This record gives sequence, structure tokens and C-alpha cells, in this order.
Amino acid sequence: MLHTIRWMVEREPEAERHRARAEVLVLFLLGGLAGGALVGSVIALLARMIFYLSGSRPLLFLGAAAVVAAAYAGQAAAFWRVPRPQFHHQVPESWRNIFSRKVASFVYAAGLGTVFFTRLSSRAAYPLAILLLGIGRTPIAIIAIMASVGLVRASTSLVLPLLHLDRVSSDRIVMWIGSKNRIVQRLEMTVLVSVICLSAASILPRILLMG
Amino acid sequence: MEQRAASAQAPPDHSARATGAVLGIAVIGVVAALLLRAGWQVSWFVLAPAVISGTWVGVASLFSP
Repeated sequence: MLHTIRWMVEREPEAERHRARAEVLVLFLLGGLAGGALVGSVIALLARMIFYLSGSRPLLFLGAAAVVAAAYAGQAAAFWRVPRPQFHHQVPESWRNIFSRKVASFVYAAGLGTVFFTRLSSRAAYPLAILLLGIGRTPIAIIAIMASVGLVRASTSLVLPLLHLDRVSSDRIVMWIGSKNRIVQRLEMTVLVSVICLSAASILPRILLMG
Repeated sequence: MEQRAASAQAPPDHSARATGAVLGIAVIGVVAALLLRAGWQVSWFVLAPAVISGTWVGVASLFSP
């Protein structure tokens, strides 16, 4: 993603780059928002169907999300292997050649914003999907949550101007990403454990009260 | 000569940062509004893990090559 934005800005003449950067970033953010809302609508439709079939069972889905988060936390800690079903393709890079700069920025980010239809960069996507499927009673909330996820995903492009990464080579960007590997793994584990703990904190008191 | 070249590049650097900062603030505002909208309908015990995992899913893509 960082390479794509940098590439789209760098290919413009020097005088045009500032305007091009601002345009690309704004359209990138809008695209992420739209893509997130789109995939949120698809999940909301599925969740609504589940809601009609089985009623509202948020605790059941919360428990399932905790189990899945625990399974992937174990995988992240190299205790066991868990399959990671996902699409193996990323947004096609050819889009940036086919479309104009403005259209390519929007469409590329919209593709990334669909999250579950691209290669998943985090195991936390699986418990997230389960949690969302459990709140079919409130489809607008699902769309709002996924729109924010799409927007956050697109907003990571803002590190380019903020850290001046748009002025460095592709190799430097790869090195910068690689240097964060350890902290990324720790944050991934923290998020998965947080999902387990928050879910358990919600479920256990209710189970104890029922008992 | 190099100094002149560096100073010639300085203004776009600042404006790029300013653009990034303004857009960042706008993103925080929109995300907060969306999550408040969701929080109006969904109880915190479902929303909290969804927001934490969703935010991380978005941020983590920055570090995938």
C-alpha cells in the first residue's frame, strides 16, 4: 500500500506532487470508508439471516470469538497450527495503471477496505467476523464498525507524509516495515488476549448467575 | 548548493506533514462518530472486543509487505 501511494505521487512532475499527494490521500481515505461500509453490508446481511434463523445470541458468538481468538493466540505463540482461511490475492497492482490517479486511489483503497476479501494481515480478523455475525439485530452497527475498520486501514497511508516515507526509496520502506516486526507480533498477541479476556469477563458472570 | 537544495525542499515537507495531520484528525473524528453510532445500538461487551480487534486489523495492514 505504501509503495502504491508513493509510486502514484512520485510519477507526477515535482511541481504537481504536493497536490497529487493530498488528492491521493483524501481519495484513499474515502475509498477505505466505502470499502469498509460495503463489506459491512455483506456481513450485516449474513448476520441478519442468522438472527432471523436463530434469534439474538450475542453471548454464544462472544464465546465462539473467544475460542477462535485463543486458537490464533496459540498459533501466534507457535504452540500449534491453525488454518487461516483467506483470499490469497491482494488488490491488483495493475489497477493503478488502468485507472486515472483519482479513480485508482479510490478503487484501490476500496478494495483494501473490504478487508475480508483481501489477504488478511492480522489473525484478529477472525474473531472480529464472528463478533459481527452475532449482532445481526443491529445491521447498521455492523456497517458502522466495518466502515471504521476500512477507514483505519486506509488511514495507515498517512504515515507516508507524517514520517516522510514518501521521500525515501522502496527498500527503505521495506526496511522500516521489517524493523517493526517484533512489536507487531506483540501487539497482535495483546489484541487476541484482550478479545479473550473481554469476552470471558462478559460471559463468566452470566454463567455464574445462571448456576 | 546542497543547503540551497535542502531549503528548497523544506516547505513541501511541512505542508505534507500538515496535510497528514489534518487528515489524521478528520479520520479520528469520523471513526469516533461511527463507533458512537454503533455503540448506541450494541452493548459494550460486544463492541469493546470488536473495536479493539477491528482497529488492529486496520493498523496491522500497514506492516504487511
